[in-house]
Amino acid sequence: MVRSGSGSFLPDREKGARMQYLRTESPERGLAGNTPIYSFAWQPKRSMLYAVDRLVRKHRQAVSKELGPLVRAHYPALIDKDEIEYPKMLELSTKMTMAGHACSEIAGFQFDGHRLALSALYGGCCFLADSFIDEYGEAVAREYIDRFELLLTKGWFEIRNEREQLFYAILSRIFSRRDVLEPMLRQAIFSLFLAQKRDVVLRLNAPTFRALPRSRQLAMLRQCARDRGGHTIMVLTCLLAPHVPLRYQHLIFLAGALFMFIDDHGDCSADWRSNRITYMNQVRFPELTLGGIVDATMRKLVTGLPDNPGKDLICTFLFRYFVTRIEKHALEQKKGGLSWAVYE
Amino acid sequence: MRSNKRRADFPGPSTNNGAAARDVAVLADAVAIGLQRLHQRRKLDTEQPLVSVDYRREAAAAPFQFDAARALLHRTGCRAIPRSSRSALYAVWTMTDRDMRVACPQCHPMPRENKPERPVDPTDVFFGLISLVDQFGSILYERGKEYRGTIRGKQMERSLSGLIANLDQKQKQGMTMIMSAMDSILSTLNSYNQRVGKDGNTNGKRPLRDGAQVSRGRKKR
Repeated sequence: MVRSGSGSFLPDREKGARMQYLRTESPERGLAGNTPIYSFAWQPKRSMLYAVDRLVRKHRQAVSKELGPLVRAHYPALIDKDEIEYPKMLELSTKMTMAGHACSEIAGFQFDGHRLALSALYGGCCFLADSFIDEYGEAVAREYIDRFELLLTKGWFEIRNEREQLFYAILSRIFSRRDVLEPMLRQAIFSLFLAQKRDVVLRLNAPTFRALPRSRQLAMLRQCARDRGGHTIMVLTCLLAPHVPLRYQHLIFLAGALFMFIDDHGDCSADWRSNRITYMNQVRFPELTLGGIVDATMRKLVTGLPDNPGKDLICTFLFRYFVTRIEKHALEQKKGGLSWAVYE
Repeated sequence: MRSNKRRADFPGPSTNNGAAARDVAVLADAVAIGLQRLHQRRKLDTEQPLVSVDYRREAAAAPFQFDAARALLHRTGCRAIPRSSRSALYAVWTMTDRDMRVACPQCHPMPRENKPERPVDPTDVFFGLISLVDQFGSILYERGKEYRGTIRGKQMERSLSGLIANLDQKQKQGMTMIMSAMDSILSTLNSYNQRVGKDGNTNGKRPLRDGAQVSRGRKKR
């Protein structure tokens, strides 16, 4: 039995009971009080869950303060449309800010206002970039990939509408706050782009892909999800912390990949509707598979990351994210599909 | 090592939530978007890159490759790098003794093989910047004169003056140094342009007899 950070490993005999629930008894609202806790080898402390709940609320306000004026200036329709898209953008940015907070602390840096702003902006940037690729069909996705390639290799981006103007304004804010020519950051950004490109190519070449043996298909999809998530968090980390030891970079990469697997499971129904194949909607027993990935990754994070608040934060937040996404998945199945990130 | 001391390492600007900083950020947004619009309207040389994030060419020259998915540091070209890890590799120029913990057991990378990181070539950045200034400098100059006369422009001028007034002595010195350097760079560039302009090498533009230049399809003021 190993003890570390905010949680503890359970004895071996309990490890098999992955999907059993343990209900907490908190008077507070939020995940710590209302949501069942999955019995993994690693469990967060209840006090950490409450602390993360409070931090999510605090960061959500800060994210809104950072992105709100930009959205109003460049794409007011995003707020005025009275749809769920803007709140969804704030939620994704809040998630990125939580991850950024954890990564800064892991690397030994204080999560100050500058880092908070960068995290929020990066979240907004990812939200819009993902929407360009995911929400307008295959031909548009292919065109955006070409345009992103031009942006990253030449720096030029033809702004065609308000949504793209907002995307570019956010991007230029990030670029003005950070030296983007730093080698690790450049590599992370370009690797993330290549991972997105592979994802789109898989979608566009579905018949060719389907002709491959199933084991090869699954390996490619798993690698694609790993890279999308891993490089996303590497970009974030490189934006926030200039020096991160290699062994921690690996663990941060794994944490990012886990975010992506959890996301893909949560978006399972929406992805099916848009003919998007992911590792999580192709495996036979998705919840069990995801449980296995969560368990193995958390074990590595808890034993490998330095003992500091960053480790507690990333592990607890990932756990919380997993639980809420499992709920989202169940909700989508029951209600016939909601493309909505459920956190509370 | 923690927090405050290491904050100084961070290569970004310090936090400033003042109104002046916000105004400058809004101005920077407008310049960035304006630059893309100029490019869109073919007012800028479409062949000239603004900035390239792609690092693949430089990365190939690095002595090590770090497999972020498996936590293994390889020598570049190590045959033990699995195919599935190729998309998770990061070029590394220097490894420390602590990185020996993640060294590949097949190729045994060693710190003595470290190479100095190939820095961004300052002349690339410089000529990139000059190329842009050269192309749309006159537009900015005229716009600047017009903008300064507006109410918003006057407010911005006050904000910028306030921002500069709030700089400490060292920052002011730094700023003066940069301004004077820019000044001499621009005058050097002017004389350089006048000389090479005679040979037709004028950043994609047709030289005029008196040394001034013409942008593609647009006369310079």
